[in-house]
Amino acid sequence: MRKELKLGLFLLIVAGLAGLAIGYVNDITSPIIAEQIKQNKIDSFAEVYPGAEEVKDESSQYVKEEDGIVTEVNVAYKAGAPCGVIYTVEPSGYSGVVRTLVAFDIATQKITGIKVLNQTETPGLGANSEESWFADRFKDKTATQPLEVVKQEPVGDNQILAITSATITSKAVTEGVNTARQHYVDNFVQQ
Amino acid sequence: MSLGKEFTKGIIRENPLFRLTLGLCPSLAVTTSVENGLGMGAAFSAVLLASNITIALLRKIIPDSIRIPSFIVIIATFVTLIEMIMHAFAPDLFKSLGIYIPLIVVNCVILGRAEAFASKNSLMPSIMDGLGMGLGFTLALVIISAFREILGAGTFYGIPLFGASANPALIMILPPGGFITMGIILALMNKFQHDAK
Amino acid sequence: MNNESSLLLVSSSPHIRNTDSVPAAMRDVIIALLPALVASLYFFRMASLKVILTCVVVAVICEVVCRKVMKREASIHDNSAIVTGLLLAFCLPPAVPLWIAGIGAAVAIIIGKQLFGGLGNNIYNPALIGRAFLTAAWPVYMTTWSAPLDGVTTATPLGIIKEAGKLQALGDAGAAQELMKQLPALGDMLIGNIGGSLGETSALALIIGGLYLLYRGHIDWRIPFTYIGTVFILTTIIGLSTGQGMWYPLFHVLAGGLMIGAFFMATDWVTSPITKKGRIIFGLGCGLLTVLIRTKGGYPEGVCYSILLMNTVTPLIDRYTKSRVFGRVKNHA
Repeated sequence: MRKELKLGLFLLIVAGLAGLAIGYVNDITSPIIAEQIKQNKIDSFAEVYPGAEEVKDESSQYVKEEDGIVTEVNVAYKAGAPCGVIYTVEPSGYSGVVRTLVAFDIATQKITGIKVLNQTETPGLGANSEESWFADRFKDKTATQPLEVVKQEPVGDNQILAITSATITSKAVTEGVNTARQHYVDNFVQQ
Repeated sequence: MSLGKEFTKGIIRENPLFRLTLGLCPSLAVTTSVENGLGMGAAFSAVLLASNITIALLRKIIPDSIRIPSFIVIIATFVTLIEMIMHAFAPDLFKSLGIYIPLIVVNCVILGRAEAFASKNSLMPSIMDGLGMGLGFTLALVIISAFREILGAGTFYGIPLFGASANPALIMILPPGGFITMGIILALMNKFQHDAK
Repeated sequence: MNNESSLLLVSSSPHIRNTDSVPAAMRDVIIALLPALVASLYFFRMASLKVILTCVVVAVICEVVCRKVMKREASIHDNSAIVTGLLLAFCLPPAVPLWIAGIGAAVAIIIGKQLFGGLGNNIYNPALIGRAFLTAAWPVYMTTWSAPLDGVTTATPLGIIKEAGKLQALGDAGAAQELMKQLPALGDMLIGNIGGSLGETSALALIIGGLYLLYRGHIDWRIPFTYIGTVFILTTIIGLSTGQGMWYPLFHVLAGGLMIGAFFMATDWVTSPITKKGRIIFGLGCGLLTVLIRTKGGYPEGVCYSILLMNTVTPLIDRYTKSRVFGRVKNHA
């Protein structure tokens, strides 16, 4: 019995020391990590919607159960008035969720930019959805009409050229953009 | 054995990856680019060195019957520390190595060195052993990832090698490419060893 | 240690007992592939000729060089490299760049066959290894199909079905229906007037070749019969339960690489089971996996992967189905 106690006590001390060390380092790194995550968010917001003075998370007001793949709504402000809306949507792609930011400008009612944040699509095919040349295909599209994916050079204003051999990923991103677009039209456009 | 030999044995003769074939899972998974290979190698070496030092110092105190749980707690602590430090100071590397950093805990090379070497040797040889094994593992990762990155992405350390018209063989940076590379390297190592005899 | 002799001793599946018959049998396989070759040349013209020549020439060169470098007895006279080159070319898209076809042939012979020890020791069908490698390495080229005769870019029948299924799942039923209208008639699929790999489109030509191999006794009816039969039965169940009727199973039997896979690849002497029962299990497994990949998987076609997967378990199948005549009687103690 005494032996077991001794062994238990030894492990307790080892684990305790380990905990102390981890706690100490965590105290140093956690504010840096939190700052980084915040900065990343601000940077990607600025990428899809440049020029905002302040961006506020208003998800609690706008995201409802039935919105499905819309997970976050951030509103951009300039001089105290809302000027743009940045959505986070999570459509399902070829092999998982494709987390995408979509931003609209309230004045022009156009898409100012999109950005795929996270995806697990096939490297070389669907993973290309992260590239800026694909994101640029959505730029300046109008918010008022649905977008559709095409495989040949687009002819209409509302057409998006699919990534070669990655139609499903292209459709998923477009579905995400369309869902955000509909939500935007329903909530931010005066009828 | 001299300290110098403790250091050099891990690089070729007892290379953890190519000769002992330990720690295959993280090695095949992260070696899609030289940058990842180097990052993984550095994180691994840091953990190995720290755990070897700690275990060599504590080897007389740690009771024999609970040495494995003690080793694991020590290794896991260092892995967690490295993970937090990487997350704070090298976020891009942290993002691309992802789940494989916490998995260093179960990398059998580290526990293997703790059990086979550090728990039986004094501080200086254990440091040399940790440095050598760490360097050997890192070298192996860099060789695999260079092979895969050049063929699979057409780049080396992110620098394009063949111009824009090149069409790299994507399979090499996908999981099968890791197995093909590993198989070819092991076959070559065996051949040279065979010829040397 | 001399590897060569030890391999001869421990080879788990001694498929080839009489080495004299190998060149002749391979010649028969080439003859059996001729109808499909003619169909391919007719439908895809010069594109077909170039890809086939590239694959065969590269395969033969790699075979010769590999044996030399590895200091092994030359094996080119057994014709197997020509068969591998032909089969690989038959499962490539007509518009594939020739350098990709060449790399595929090199991978098939070097990694798929010679590194394992040459004909008789390879675990996987070399041509399918080449194809699987290319599909993962250059997916864009390997999934760009051209229509027969005029060569414009098109989709394969299985590609159309998969795409329509995805559209349906995204809730776009109208577009799915529109897409389904592009499907070719079953008659066109039988003679091969459809988009697809060079040698797999003409089911009729492949059946003629397959029957010739059966007649000459080079392949066992069990594998192609159970393979195609399983696909037919499973897709009949799906077809009837989804209200698409008997058109659906006929479509699946004629589409994609099923015919070439069932007659020429799944029956590969080296990589398929040697026991009768084992061959039936092999065919069933291939059929089940093909239907699963086609209907539930990400890829439109599953013949290549299902045969490769079943190749993996071939030694296991052989082990559990071999006759017990020489085995020990189980001790009921």
